Amino acid sequence: MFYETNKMSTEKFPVKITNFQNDFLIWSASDSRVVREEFRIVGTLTGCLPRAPHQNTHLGLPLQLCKEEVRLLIDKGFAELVETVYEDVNDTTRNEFKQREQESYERQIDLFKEDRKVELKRCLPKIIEGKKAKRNKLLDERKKKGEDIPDSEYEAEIQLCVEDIAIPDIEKRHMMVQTPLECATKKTTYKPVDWDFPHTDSEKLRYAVFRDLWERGHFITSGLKFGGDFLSYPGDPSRFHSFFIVVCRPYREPLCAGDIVTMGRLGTSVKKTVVLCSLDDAGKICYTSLQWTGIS
Amino acid sequence: MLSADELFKYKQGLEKTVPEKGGTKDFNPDGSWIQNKQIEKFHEERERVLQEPRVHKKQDLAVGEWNADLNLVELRKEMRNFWQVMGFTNTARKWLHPEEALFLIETNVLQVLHEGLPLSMQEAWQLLLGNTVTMEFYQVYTHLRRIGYVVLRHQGRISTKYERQIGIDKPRQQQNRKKTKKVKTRDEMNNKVSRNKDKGEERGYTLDTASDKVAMDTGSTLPIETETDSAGTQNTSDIIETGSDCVNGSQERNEMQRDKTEKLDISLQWMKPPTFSNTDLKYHQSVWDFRKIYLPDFGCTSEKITVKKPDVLFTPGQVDVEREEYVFNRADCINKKKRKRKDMEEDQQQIRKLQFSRPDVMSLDFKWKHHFKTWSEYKNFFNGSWRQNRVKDFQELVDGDLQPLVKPDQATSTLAVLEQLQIVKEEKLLLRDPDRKMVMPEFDVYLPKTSYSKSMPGIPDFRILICRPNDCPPSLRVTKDISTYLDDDVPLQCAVVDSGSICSYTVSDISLPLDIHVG
Repeated sequence: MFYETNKMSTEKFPVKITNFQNDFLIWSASDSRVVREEFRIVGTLTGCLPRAPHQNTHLGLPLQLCKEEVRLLIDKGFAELVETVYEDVNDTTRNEFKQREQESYERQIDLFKEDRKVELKRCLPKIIEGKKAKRNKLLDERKKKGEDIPDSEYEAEIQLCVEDIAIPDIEKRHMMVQTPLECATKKTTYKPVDWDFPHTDSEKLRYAVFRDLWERGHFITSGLKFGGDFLSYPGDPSRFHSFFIVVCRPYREPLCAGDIVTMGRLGTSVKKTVVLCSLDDAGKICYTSLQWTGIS
Repeated sequence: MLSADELFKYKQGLEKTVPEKGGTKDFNPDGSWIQNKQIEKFHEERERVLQEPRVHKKQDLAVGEWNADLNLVELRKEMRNFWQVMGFTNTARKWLHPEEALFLIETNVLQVLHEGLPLSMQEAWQLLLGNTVTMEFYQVYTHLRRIGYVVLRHQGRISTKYERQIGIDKPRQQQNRKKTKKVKTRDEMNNKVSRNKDKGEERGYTLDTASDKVAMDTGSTLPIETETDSAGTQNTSDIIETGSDCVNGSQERNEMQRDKTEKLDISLQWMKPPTFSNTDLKYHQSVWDFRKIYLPDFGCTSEKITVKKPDVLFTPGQVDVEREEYVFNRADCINKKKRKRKDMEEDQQQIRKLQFSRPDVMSLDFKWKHHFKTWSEYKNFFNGSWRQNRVKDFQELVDGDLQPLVKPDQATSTLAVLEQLQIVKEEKLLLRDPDRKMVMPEFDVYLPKTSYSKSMPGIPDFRILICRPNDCPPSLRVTKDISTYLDDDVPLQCAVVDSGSICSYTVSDISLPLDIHVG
C-alpha cells in the first residue's frame, strides 16, 4: 500500500493543492508540470533541489501558489484544495516500518551480491592472473630456501569460478534509505477544505484582474521585483520576457502625478509597459497603459 | 516511496548539474514548432529534476528527534560539519531550531524522527513549521543559507559602542559565556575530577598582586622593609623552583614554596599591607595609615586648634613645612559674627559699578520681592517676562502685515533661530517612548568566513527584518529605535516576501551638513 507511487494527477483526477496555514503548496512534480503546461499557472518553487541543494537558481518542490492562482484553479475545477491528515502512530505502525526496512535491507543485500558477481565475472581473468602471480612468488621463495620445484608448477592453471568467491553481506548502515516527499510510514488522508477568498475590495480587484488576464491567454506571476502587482507574459516565462507590469488601483482613488511619473520611468527603464487596472462601477475591468514620452 | 531495487539504482548518487536559468529568450510567441519544442524540453527537464528522490546511505545521515513541547529538534547523531554554524547546546544536549532542522532535511544531511518513525518531507514541513515560524521566515532563512551565509535568530544587543571603545566587549562576552556554561557536562555528572588548571582560568580577573603591592607600599610606614621582604620571598621561591629537580610535579613545588614564605613572614606579617584575595575584589582596603595623617580637630573645646606638621610624603615636593605645630584661633574659623550693614553697602556699591544686562535683577528690591523656591520657577519667571518686554519694544513688527521670520520671543538660541528656517521639521527620534513596542529584526547574518566561531560570533555583518508587500515598510522611528538600541553600525536589510519571491532593500543613514555660525 505504501509503495505505490501516489499519482496525484491524471486527466481524471484534479491537481491537489495542500493548504498549510494559508500557504498553498503543490507537492507533486507531475502536478506542478500539469499546472504550468495545461493551466498556465506558474507559481514559485520554494524548496531545495535534491540534486543541488546549495544554490538559488533552480529550487525544488514544494511549488507555492499565490491566492489568486489557487482561487482560479478551484473555480475552473482544475484542482482541489486539501488538508493532509495523518493517522496516529502506535506500535503496529512502528513494527510495520521496521519490518519493511528489514525486507528492503535483505533485498538490497541480494542486489548488491548480484551486482558484485557481475563485476567479478568481468574481472575474472585479472583475478586469476593475480592469484597466479602470488602463487608463483611463493614458489620462488620456496625455491630460494632450497626446495626443488619443477617448472610445471609455475604454469599450472588456477581454476576459479565466480561462485567460489565469497561475497560478504553489506552492513545495515550501508543500506540505501530515502527521505520521501510523501509520508510512507503512516496512512495519510487528504481532506478537502473550503476556503473563502476574496474578502476585501482590493483582494476582489486583484482577483478580477488576474482572472481576466488569464482568460485572455496570459501567463501571470508576482510583480514584486518591478514594484507592481503582477507581471504578464505572452507565453511561458521560461521562453519569453514579460510585456506588462500590472498595477491594480481602486477606480475612485486619486492618483498623484508623482506616482505616474515613478511608474512611467520604471516601465521605460526595464522596457515593459505599465498597465493600470481598475474595476469600474459596472464591474468591468478597464486597463490603462502608460507611455513615457519626453518633450524636447 | 521507492522499492529496494529502485533505491539501489541511486547508489552512485545524482548528477550535480543544475538546469540553466534564462538564457536568450524569444520576444513573441509565434507558434513555431521549434519554440514549442523548446518549451516542452524545458518542462520535461524541470519535471525530471523535481521528481528525483532523496536517497542516501543510512550512515550518511545525521539523526535528530522532534521535541513537540520545546518545538526543537534534539540532535542524536552528528554528521559532517553543520554544527560549526548551526544549533546550540543546552543541558548537555544538542538542539536545532525548527528552521535549521528543516533546512538540513532538505539538503540531505539530517533525518528527523518523530514517535520512532522518520519524517517525510511533507510531514517535516507541516510539523516543524507548524506552530513555530512563518513561511516567510523560513523562506528568507533558506534563501540566505543556500548561498552560504551564516544565519542566526536575532541575538539582541551584542555590545555597545562604548564597550567596544574601551575594549571590554570581548571579555564581557566571554564572561557571559562562562556564566551560561555553568551547566554541568556529562563528565562532571559522572564525577570525573576537574583539573586544577581549569580552576585557575575560571577566575576571570587576575590581579597582578606583586606589582600592586610595590606601588601601594610607598604610602606605608615601613616601605623599605616590606619591599625587601617580598623580594626576599621571591628570591627564595626562585631558588626552590630552579634548584629542585623534582619528579613529583608542580603541585608539590607550590606547596613547598608556600611553606617557606609563611615561615619567613611570621615575624613581619603585622606590617605587611593586606594582600588581595579574590573575595576582596569588591572593595579595596586602604594602605594609608591614618594615625600619621593629621587633620584639625574642630570639635575640641579649647580656643586654640593645633595642627601638627604633616609627613613629608604628604606634601608636594617643593613645599617645606617649617614648624612642628600650627596654631589657629577657633573663633576665626567657625561661627563668625554677622557682617555689619556697612560692609554690605560697600559690596552693593561695587556691584552697582558693574555693567549688567539685567540691572533690575541685581537690585536688592528685586531680591526681596521675588522668592524662588526652585530653579525652574526662576527660569520661567525670566523667560516669560523678558520676552514680553522685548516684544513691547518691537510692537510695530508684530502688529504689521509683514511678519518677521524670527520673532523676538523666538530668538532664544541659535538652534531656535535655525528651526524657524527649517522646512523639514526635526523630530526627536532618539527619545524612545517606553510604551511603544519595539520591532526587532528577525535574523543576524554573518558572511561565510572561516574565522566565524559559534561561541563568540561577534557583531553580525547585517540584520534582516521581514515585511510583507502589503504592509508599510518600517518607519524611520522604528529603524532609529533599532539602531540606537543595538548601538552598532550594522545595516538593516528589509526582506519583502510575496508568496515565494523575495526582494530585499536596505536604508542607510546619511548626515547632511549643518552650518551654524556661533552667536
